[in-house]
Amino acid sequence: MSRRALELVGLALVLAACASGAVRPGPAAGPIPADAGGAAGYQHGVERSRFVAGPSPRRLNEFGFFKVVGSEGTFAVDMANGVAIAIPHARSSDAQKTVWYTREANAHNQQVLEYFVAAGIPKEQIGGVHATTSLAGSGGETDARVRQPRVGGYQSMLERRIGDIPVADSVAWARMNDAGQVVAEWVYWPAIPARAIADARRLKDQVGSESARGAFLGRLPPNLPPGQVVIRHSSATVTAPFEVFASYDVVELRVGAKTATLDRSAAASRVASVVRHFDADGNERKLPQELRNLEKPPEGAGPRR
Amino acid sequence: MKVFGRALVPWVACSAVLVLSGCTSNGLVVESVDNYSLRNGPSLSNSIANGDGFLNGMTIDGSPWRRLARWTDLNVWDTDFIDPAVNPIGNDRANFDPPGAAISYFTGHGFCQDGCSTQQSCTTTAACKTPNTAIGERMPGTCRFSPFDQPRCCYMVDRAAATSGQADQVSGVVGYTSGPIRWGESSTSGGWAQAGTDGGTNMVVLDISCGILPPFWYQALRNAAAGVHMIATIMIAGGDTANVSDRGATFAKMWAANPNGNVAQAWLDTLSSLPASDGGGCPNGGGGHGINGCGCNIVVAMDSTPQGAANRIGEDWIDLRNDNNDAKGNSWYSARWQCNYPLRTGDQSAWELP
Repeated sequence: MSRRALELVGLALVLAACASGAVRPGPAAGPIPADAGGAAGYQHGVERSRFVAGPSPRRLNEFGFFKVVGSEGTFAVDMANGVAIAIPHARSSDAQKTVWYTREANAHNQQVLEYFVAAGIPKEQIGGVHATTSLAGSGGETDARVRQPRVGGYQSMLERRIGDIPVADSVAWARMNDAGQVVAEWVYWPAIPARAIADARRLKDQVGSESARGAFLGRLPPNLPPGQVVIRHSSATVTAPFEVFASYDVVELRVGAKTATLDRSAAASRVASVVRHFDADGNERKLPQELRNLEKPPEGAGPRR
Repeated sequence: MKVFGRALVPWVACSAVLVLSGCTSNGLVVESVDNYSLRNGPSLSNSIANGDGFLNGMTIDGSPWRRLARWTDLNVWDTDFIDPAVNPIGNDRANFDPPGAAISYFTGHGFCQDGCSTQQSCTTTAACKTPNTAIGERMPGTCRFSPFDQPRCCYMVDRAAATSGQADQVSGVVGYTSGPIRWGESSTSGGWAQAGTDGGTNMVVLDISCGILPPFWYQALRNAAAGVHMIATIMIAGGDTANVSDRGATFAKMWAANPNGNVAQAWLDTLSSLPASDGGGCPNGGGGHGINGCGCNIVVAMDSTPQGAANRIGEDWIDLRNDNNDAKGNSWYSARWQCNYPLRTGDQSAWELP
């Protein structure tokens, strides 16, 4: 008996054991209402998706998701925060193709934009759309030269804005094939409360005002470069209670001391950039995803052995 | 009941054989460095959150994965990555490359020496024949370009990750291109890499600056591929990797959403799933998504045959745990990229003028 067959038997036993328990459905697809003055979100769902899970899909709960699992792929909705993720199986027909889209990125962007608007993402919250590119290549030691990879297709992602304020952590992207089907997608578009929007507008007014800007920047650490007013929120990987705040985001460049280069014959300075967040009062903030630490060592902890 | 019992016996027996034979690996190793106060600084802010996000996401209730090791900051040593069969100071079998590991994830600094010191402009790779060997550049050369850079001659340079450990032995330089690094060698891969069979990781993630520079993805990683199914990292085309907090958790989320999905694609799709504001822009459109400038998430799988390499890059998360899939050589590769800027469908060369 092969290992995969064993795993299928195991899965069948588990499913049988769970058969008496009802599958908990994911959150209903459609608009996510906001409070008065807030911005509605959008909950994606399989019924509004062009993702092809395959025939006779089954529904189940697994790893915190409500899932629709077919022979071609899985559409999953996180029960805690609503992020919708559609991923083809590794052995699906789409996953076997090295080229699945033959038009240019702009055409893909337009298709994805129209798809998400039709699904229900508020059009007025879409500030733009841009593409990332997928490529594949292969070769070996007997190749005379490096074989160049080939473009297989694109992912197009929406840029969320409320008025003129970017909402940095909202994500909606899709990968489509030539038939206009969704090969994969990821949608996290939570409602933004009125308080965060009002704070962002106040912050933007402060930064844009000759008289108020100095006072605000004076509350920040010295020598930071100019920043940008954005709305930040918990990422799609955070299942703890949702956090959102208006932020003056600054990209801080950190320069290290001279350090060894690879052959240790010379020295060079290393540079790293870190995005820092400051609220309307100039207090530094951290996003939940930036605070993960499974084990904080005690002060003065010694070496590990 | 007898029938059920008879059917159950071989299932239990097979399961026991699988466990006892050690042909399944489900361990996770994470080494994360924010504190670069001893060497190779400046210090970072998001590596520990990043590595712990991966661990946390992979070990949720009901998960088949288990934590094997988690080292952070000054407890991450360069010797953790070095194979003792190649250099006796190394101890990767107890740290980054232990038996039973499925995924070994390092998040921290990488070295970004780009091999372009001559600044010779070019229109063809054939013109690039004068590496500055005094600073470690060597042939092959390439006429490299990106939205960030005009075509200029660049040369092969070793790639390395950086540690800042209390017991570092080689200046915190984890030189995986030509150093004493061998990952994934095991009884199922065989000892063809001359590094014994005492390793075992099936996937290495190098979440670092300049993990690869184009077009040297094969040359940069081949030395370290000793049985590992695939190596995932960041390839920079102009700029640098952004030290972000959520790349590891996003990668883990892909597994939780579909364990039958493709592992390599999951790493690639973390790029699109991170905010565009995570990192700086790439000229003419694009940028961000975990990269300051222009770059790509990349996965390279190697094996002894072209089909073997294709099989490795095509693995799902269950295949990844199966040690019988360990690479039997590294003479062929299959690679996939996802880049944070648009490339044209008909482009014959993304980063190099032929």
